[in-house]
Amino acid sequence: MRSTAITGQGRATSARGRKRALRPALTVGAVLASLALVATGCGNKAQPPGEGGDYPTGPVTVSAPAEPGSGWDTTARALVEALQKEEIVSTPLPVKNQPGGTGCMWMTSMMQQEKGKDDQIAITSLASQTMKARGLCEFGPEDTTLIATMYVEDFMVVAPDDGDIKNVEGLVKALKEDPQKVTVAASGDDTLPFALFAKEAGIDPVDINFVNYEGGGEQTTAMLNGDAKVAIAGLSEFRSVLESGDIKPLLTFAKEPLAAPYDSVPTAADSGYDVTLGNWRGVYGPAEMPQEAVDYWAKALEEVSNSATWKDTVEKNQWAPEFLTGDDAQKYADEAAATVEEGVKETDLGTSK
Amino acid sequence: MKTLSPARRGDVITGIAVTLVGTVYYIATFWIQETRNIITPATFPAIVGVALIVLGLFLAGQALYRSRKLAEVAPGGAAPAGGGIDGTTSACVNAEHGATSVDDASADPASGDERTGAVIDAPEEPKSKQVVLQFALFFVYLGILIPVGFLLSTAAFLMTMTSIYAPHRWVRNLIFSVLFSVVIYIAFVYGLAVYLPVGILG
Amino acid sequence: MDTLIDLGGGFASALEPLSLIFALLGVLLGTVVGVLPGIGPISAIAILIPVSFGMEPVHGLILLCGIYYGSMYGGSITATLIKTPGEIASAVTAIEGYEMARRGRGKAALATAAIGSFLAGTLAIIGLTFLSPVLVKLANVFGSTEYFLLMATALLLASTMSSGSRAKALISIFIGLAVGLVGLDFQTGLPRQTFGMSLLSDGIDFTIFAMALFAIPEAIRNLALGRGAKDEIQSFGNDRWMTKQDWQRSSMPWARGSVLGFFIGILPGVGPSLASFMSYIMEKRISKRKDEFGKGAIEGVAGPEAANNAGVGGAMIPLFSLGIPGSATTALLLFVFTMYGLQPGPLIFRDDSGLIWTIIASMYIGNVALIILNLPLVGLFVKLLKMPKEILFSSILVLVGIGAYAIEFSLFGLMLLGIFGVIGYLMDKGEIPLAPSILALVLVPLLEDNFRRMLQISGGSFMPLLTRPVSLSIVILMVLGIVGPVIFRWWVRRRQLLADVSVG
Repeated sequence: MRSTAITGQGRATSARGRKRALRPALTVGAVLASLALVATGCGNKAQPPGEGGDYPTGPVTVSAPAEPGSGWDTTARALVEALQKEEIVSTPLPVKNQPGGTGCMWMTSMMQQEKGKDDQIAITSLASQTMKARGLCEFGPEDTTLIATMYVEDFMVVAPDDGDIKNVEGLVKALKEDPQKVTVAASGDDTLPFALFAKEAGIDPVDINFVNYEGGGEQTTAMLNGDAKVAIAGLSEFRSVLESGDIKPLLTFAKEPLAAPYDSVPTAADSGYDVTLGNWRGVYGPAEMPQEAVDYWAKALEEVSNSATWKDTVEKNQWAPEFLTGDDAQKYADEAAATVEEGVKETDLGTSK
Repeated sequence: MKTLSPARRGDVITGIAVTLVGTVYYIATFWIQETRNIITPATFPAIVGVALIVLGLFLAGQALYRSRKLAEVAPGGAAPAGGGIDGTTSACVNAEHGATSVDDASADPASGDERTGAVIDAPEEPKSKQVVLQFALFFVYLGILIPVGFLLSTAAFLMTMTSIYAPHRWVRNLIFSVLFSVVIYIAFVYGLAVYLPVGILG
Repeated sequence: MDTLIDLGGGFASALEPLSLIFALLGVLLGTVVGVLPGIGPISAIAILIPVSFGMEPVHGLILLCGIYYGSMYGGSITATLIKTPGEIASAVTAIEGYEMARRGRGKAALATAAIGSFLAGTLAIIGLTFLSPVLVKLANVFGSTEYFLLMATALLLASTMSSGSRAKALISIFIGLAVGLVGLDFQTGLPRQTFGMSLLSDGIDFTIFAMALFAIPEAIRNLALGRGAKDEIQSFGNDRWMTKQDWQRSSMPWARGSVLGFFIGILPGVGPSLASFMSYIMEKRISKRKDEFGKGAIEGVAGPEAANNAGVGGAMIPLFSLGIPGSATTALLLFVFTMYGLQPGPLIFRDDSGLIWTIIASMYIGNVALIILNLPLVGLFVKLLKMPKEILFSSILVLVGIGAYAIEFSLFGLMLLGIFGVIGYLMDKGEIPLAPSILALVLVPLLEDNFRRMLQISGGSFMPLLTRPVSLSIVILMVLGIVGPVIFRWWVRRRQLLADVSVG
């Protein structure tokens, strides 16, 4: 079964489809699949834009712009599971898969065909911003009716425990000596924060020797067999090897220090490198979604983000809650978009010839 | 060229087709953006394109060369041994199926007794017109599946296909077409939560 | 010894009545799901996950693992009977299995697949039980250099899969490679060979490709033959169970397939699919009945079926001990583990040993359940073939259509299916074998990525091929494999010549 990579983790834009199937389930979202679906029966018709104060009037489709089992899919299903288990939303919420172009196909539909509708929401993430920055998609999440950001998976740079690189200073020193020798295992767009970090440290990001791998497991193996010197990925990718002590954390790109037991890991900003970027996931609606529907979902998502079910899911996956709605969410997405754009420019990966 | 046996002619056509595909594929690599990597994203596709061109030319050339050689040896050009130097099974259009009846008897003598009456005749090759028609119907089905919806389009497709084959059994065909569509629809939508398109019924 | 005690503890909880029921239910569901083309274990597991969260972790995991290996067997049923592989790992079975079914040997094909799956599955779990700690180290020896060499070897061997022209086998391989390279480049994220269609940037799904190549040409051909044509599938009356000879011919392939599948399965990223292809190639190479391959050789079913189930067991080793999933399905299982608070990785046998041993014990039980359920059903499944052929083959077209829809959910996916169906038909017509291109499609990402990683790491030098001990040994083996036979043949001819001369 192929799965769209990126979509998979919702982060690595450079995935070659089917390979990434591996990654999604890895860390990503909860596949609390769709009991809801059974309940909804076949009621997934388009509903006319709601009028009156009793929104929603019918089923609201939650689209995962990727295959079943992928990262966006599992996030969508986890979210629906929580919304219904906590009885926050009582109308049926069928989860639909709309794969294509790493989420671009569905995002484009949401901007055009579904414009103005109120019975559609979808999952998005940093990966879609990279798609736009690379010129692979006309729209990014910041262009849609962004309803909320839900959580962030923080990036972490790690190195093998018995390797030469012991800390951030060691990393910068090694990079300055010979960037070719410091192979960096990364997956898709995980390269972006590292490239920006290199730039801050005075190293040309183009010289960084990135080697792409399929996810934390492969990256770990690559570090342990000597193919890679350091690796960067979402924190949860490395969880078990960090605990066993085979690899150690060097740096995170989180806004604030991480939760224990990683609270002593320096953030890039604290170490003097001004790079903050996390792989966020959020929910968006069609362009020009009726305000009533936007408000309804902002409230529903806020409730769910405070619910025990969702908190449990977030904790088990070691995500960091990052709930924002309205202008805050928009600002967050805009900032991330700017960072991504800069990163793409630095790594010279734009597609415009 | 008159001496080209059907299999040889097939190889020439196949070879040319493969060469063309390879050429298109190779040309498409020009649109891949260059990078500073040691092996660029275009490297492998280019290798594959060139390999297809070379293999296609080789196949066509081999067929032409062999048929000429054959023509020299046996001016009748009847391709008696099929020239099986590379194992290409002789002049049978569809080697896989064509060889069946012959090999079957010799291949598995011990179990031969179990299959009394089960000897497979060399299947006739379907007429091209029929194949094109079947493919066309299949494409129509694939095309209308989403806009028209699973239930209607599937029932119509099955009805058409079975009726072409056995028009006199239209009652059975109808019952089967409707029943199959409904059962599959229910199984997928309610059992597996895989939403099949509802189309105009929606 | 500790292992045995742990395993005993695992069996104690896996043998509870409820656990047994879930194991049975899991394999049954898995078989059903595997039978439906395009709907693989992934969808089944995804749908059942919420249900399983309501259950004890042990029961939930037993159920989901049961679905996994049940579906592996289910996939081989459709591959055998209607040449429609629902999963890549069963694509190989579609070659000989279907040919057997056409000759009225469907029962024997399904039986050898079921028994082989059972034996291999069990052997692989034994391997998993006792060899995990040692084998995990293997992963650390296998860097990108070794992977690249392994994939290259596999592709070279793939050209020997089919009988007939070597050039055509190579064409088939390169077609598979060409299709596999479409989409975003994994190393750089740049689109390749998409012809400007953004829909192609996700690449071409290999289940669609395999279904289109195998099932569609066969169905269309049969339908196009129309009325009055001889019935192709000969399952009338005298379709019998495996004969004594079948048992003899199957036993060694089962054994070889098990061992091969287990070791290939351990390598993350390749897993069961490569295992089944390699087993087929091996069986064909060493068989004394080479000419039967492609015409229903039972070895070509027994070996690959054993190999893919052993591969599933092997794939559990990196999954449990390194947290590396070998396939999309194991990736989903990994996610389930996480949601149960289990943490696959180096510490899993220490921190969660109770649960993990129960799962392993349940795999033994699941395998037994699988064979108990499926052997009696073989006769029933074969009856499907007695359906009038227009009904059978038009239903197949509908099923592959649904399969493609359930993967892509778009007109685009459906059209891809149709187009590759045409390509498959034309390839068949041009006598280009189909199977090598499917293997090539599976392998191309690993081949290319690891090649590029190798050069990226070495800074453009090919030296790692010769300086790393494991890769050097693979290189030597490859050279021996290619040059060896040539030299041998030359030597034999020379001796003959000399003998002739001396006689003369």
